[in-house]
Amino acid sequence: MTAMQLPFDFRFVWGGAKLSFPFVRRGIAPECKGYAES
Amino acid sequence: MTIGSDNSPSPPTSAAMASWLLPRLLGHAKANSLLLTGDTVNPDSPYIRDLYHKILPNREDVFPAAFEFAKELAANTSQLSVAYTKGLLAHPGDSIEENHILDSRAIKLLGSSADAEEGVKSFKQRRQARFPDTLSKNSSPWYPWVSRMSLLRSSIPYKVYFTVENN
Repeated sequence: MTAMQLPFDFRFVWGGAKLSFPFVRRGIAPECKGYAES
Repeated sequence: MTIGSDNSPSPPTSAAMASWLLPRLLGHAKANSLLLTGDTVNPDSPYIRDLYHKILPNREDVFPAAFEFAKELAANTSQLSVAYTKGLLAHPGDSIEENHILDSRAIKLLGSSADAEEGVKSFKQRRQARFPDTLSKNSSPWYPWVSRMSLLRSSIPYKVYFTVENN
């Protein structure tokens, strides 16, 4: 859910989280979906 | 909130505003590094670490830490002051002159508020503040100063779709 966190005021994260905005690797625009790949 | 994963049968859609928010939160260069590569990184990557208020070593500590943080802010900050500050950060005006006009107005409005009186008094008395004002009752007609957008009143015939996953 990397992209969905952006509108929040503060973000807390686990150090081992895998984060990505993989839109260009899916052929989609950066508004469509946030991914959590962990 | 929508949470997706690689295993979702169909992607839930959501307007995450990544192309607007990422360059403002991190700067254009880091937004490029994240959005144009699609790389998977850890939170301590120099491309993404500045997004985070706190990076915690243990996964199970994330929610308790965030909850304690939120409770502390809720107890000890002024709703009006937070709202006007957020407003100024999100909508600072198009120039330093316009920003000066906006923040001057916020200073005037908040300066004469009951919250400001309590904030100064509690500071002098060296105690925790108990702010009496609420955003719903004590804000001013000026806030928010930006125009609100509504698709319903737009002359452009938008259709808005909401997708709900079945599983």
